[in-house]
Amino acid sequence: MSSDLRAWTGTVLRLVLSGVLFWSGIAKLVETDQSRREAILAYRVFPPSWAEFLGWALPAVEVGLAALLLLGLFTRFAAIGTAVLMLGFILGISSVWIRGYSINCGCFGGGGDVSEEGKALRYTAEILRDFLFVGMATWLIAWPTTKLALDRPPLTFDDSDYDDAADENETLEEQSR
Amino acid sequence: MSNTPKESKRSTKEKAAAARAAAEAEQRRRDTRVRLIGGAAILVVVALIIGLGIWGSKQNGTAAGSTDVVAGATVPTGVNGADGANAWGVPYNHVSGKPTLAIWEDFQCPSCAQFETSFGASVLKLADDGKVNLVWRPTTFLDTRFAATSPNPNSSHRAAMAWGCAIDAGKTKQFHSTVFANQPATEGDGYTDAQLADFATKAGITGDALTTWKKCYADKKYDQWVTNSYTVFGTEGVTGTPTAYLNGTEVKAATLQDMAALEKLISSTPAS
Repeated sequence: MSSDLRAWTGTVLRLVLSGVLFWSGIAKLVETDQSRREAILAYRVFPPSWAEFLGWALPAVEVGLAALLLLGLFTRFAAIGTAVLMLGFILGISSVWIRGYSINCGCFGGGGDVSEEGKALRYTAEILRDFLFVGMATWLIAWPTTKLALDRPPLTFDDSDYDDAADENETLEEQSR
Repeated sequence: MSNTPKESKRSTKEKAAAARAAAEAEQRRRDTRVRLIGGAAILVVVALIIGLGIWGSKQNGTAAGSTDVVAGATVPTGVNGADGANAWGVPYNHVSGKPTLAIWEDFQCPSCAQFETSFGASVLKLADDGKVNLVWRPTTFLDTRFAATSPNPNSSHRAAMAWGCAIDAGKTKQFHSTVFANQPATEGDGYTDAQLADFATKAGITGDALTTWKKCYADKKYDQWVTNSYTVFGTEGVTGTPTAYLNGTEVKAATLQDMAALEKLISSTPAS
């Protein structure tokens, strides 16, 4: 694959993940306090006293990662953050499933306990979807250099005047001493 | 750049290369500054959302668990106080050596009405047969959900206060089942004060007892009790209703919808 195509693919993935994270973050931020709280508590993972903090911190972090991905800023770091977040959601949903609770994941707001109806299909779809996002983030971790990004492209060592450039840098360092 | 003799001897090409490198280095420094400012700005926004959000929620104070429990609140006859398990709960019976089943309910919750219709009698029979200690725990979390849209705001809270007055009249289970049996078709429509008074009559509260009930309800005698129970609903991290706990362990929703499974679970659970 040409490096150009790879960079453009990265840009598309960045924008898709950014859109997903913006959507999920904003949806949670505009919910009522009670809904945000219920969504966290429904997982029965964290003590109730953490629910308020997590209810705000999770969507805030999602929006922050979305902004980084949109701008192509610290792309590798943002992609690692996104992958960790998505793996966390996968773990959370799996754990709820294994323990036998039926919840709405609240991924895009509206979390809480729901009826058992269609539980297996719902959880399977959510986990597969999150794995897809992990895959997209992994691509960006591997190749964080993308088009339309604020990140500096890494030094291109195959550049024909690489040797010159290195000499020049040394010269500059000498001069600055 | 210093203009030493050594420097002047350098070829034009070398000088141009050095100038280019210097320009590139300057550009990189500027890019780095933009990136750091951008990153820092995003970090600040994230921190602001968290900080202002939590602060705003605290100001709002409508979420369960966000208000303080008033320990000395007046409770209806026989109802639990602040101490021990199932604080502010309504015990239905007492049998020693048997586990305790506590059920959280909101009088506006359709699933609770469904549970009451389908299994209410069976659960009462388990208690009447001395197989389990039954405790009802009132909550009012749906009031916040329908605060803006309900024609009868605070219906869960008012229904629970009305129940407290009915408990004093000795009509605990009658009033409880009457409310659920007359739940509005649309969740959130709630109950008028007149409807709640009618429920008291339907539950068998008449004569002087009804006069007492009406005064108790009008005086909001059990206002703080209901608030306390709702607060504990929050601090104990209960997410919805109906939610049942057997000796403090949550009963799976599937078990709660299957009387045979629930009875089996109860009979295999020792006293707390």
